[in-house]
Amino acid sequence: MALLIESIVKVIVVFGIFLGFVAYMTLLERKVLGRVQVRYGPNRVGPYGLWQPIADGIKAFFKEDLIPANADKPLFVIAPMISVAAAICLIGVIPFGDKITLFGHTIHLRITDLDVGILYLFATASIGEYGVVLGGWASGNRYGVIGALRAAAQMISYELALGLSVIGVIMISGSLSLSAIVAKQAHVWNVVYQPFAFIFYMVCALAEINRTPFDMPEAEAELACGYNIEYSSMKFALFFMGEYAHLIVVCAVATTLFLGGWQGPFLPGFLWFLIKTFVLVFFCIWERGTFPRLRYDQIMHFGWKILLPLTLANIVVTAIVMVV
Amino acid sequence: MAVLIAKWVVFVLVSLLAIASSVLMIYVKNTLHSALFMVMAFIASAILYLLLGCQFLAMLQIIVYAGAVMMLIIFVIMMISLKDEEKLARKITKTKVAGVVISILFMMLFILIMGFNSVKGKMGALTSIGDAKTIGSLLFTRFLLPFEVASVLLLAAMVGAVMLSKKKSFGGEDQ
Repeated sequence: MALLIESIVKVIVVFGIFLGFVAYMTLLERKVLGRVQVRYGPNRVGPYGLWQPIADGIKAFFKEDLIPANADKPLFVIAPMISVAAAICLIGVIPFGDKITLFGHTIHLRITDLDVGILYLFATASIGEYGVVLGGWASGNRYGVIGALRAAAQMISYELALGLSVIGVIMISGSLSLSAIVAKQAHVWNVVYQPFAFIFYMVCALAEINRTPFDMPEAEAELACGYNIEYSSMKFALFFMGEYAHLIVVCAVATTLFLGGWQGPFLPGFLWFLIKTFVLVFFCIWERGTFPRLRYDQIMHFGWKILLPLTLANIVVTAIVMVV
Repeated sequence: MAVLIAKWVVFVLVSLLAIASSVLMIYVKNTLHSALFMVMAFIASAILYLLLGCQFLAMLQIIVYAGAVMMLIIFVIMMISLKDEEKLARKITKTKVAGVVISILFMMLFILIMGFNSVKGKMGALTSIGDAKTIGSLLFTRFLLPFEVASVLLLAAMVGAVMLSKKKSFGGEDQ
């Protein structure tokens, strides 16, 4: 019973904090992008624009909710839910701190520790892809369908390389459990052993969450926002939340797999975890302001002809080094 | 006890979901909806694996079938948009005869299965096949030859698929 209560409290607390981060992630992105492009970014609502996410939320909530006449209504409604639910479920297996003692209870700072944690991440992320794909298709709009097709093709292509890029880490740690992988990195981070895998992972992850320079499914210039073209009000906000939640999770997973998770000197574990994740999130915003969008065929060529062989080579080299 | 009851409730609900989505997959007219019900059936069977303690199999079921395979099928359905095909509604002859024969065969199978007693005993290293380590070590020791044969076969099929699709787009832009 105590275990059940502990789990429920953990889920609620993590869910709340995580959604708070997701909301302020939008402000951070707009602020940083503003600075990159030599402007201020949002600064009207509250001091330094701090209440902007709340204002945005209220606005999205009260806007008119349109469903196009030739849309596939059930799928149109379900698609954003799939997107955001899958992104939030991902946070469940990530260990964000060491165990702490609270009111005489020892509490592990993670929601759950699965034996197949990494596979859970991939499985849930692959379900989340249906959100984008179905959303574009169900809109009954040609731009939407093209966006959905691009999303499906791109995600299948880069999911493969993403999976292969973390196999080196699994080989070193000898476990699929994220807690065990973090525990293995107490002295040396995996990024020291697997520097290339880390780079491959970040590139694939950017493609997996449809972020610049891989944001083909929603390329404004050619597709007029692609898969979410017909979405308005809270449904659009849900897609947006799903995207940012996925971005934070992808950075948190990179922290866990390559940067030692919550391990670090002096500061408490969860602070180290937050700092490392924040650095990666900042990188994602920074590169959005830096790189132009790639062309679609370039993305496909890069994924299949360069990234996939390189990740395979990384596995072979890791295996040889481990045996010798 | 409470855990057992919870497991039983989940089992009943999930198996009902699996049956319902399988039936709907066949009866729904829209091709894409049918594919999505198949995804649901796959996810339901993954949950059934979880109930049996096969975490590894459950995750692979979702990644490979619900994730990759169905995503490809949906991709194809969206790309060729089967709207015209639906209107045609091809007639299959002698459906009633086939239906009767298949249902008789199914009933026989069902009766046979109901007649069997379930195997009693403890879960050993081989029966707890859901563990990644068990599967891995078995694949590379006892089942090494079948494993290698299967991988060569898969590679041949992959190369064959690439060759077939390459020939069609010969001279044009390759995608």
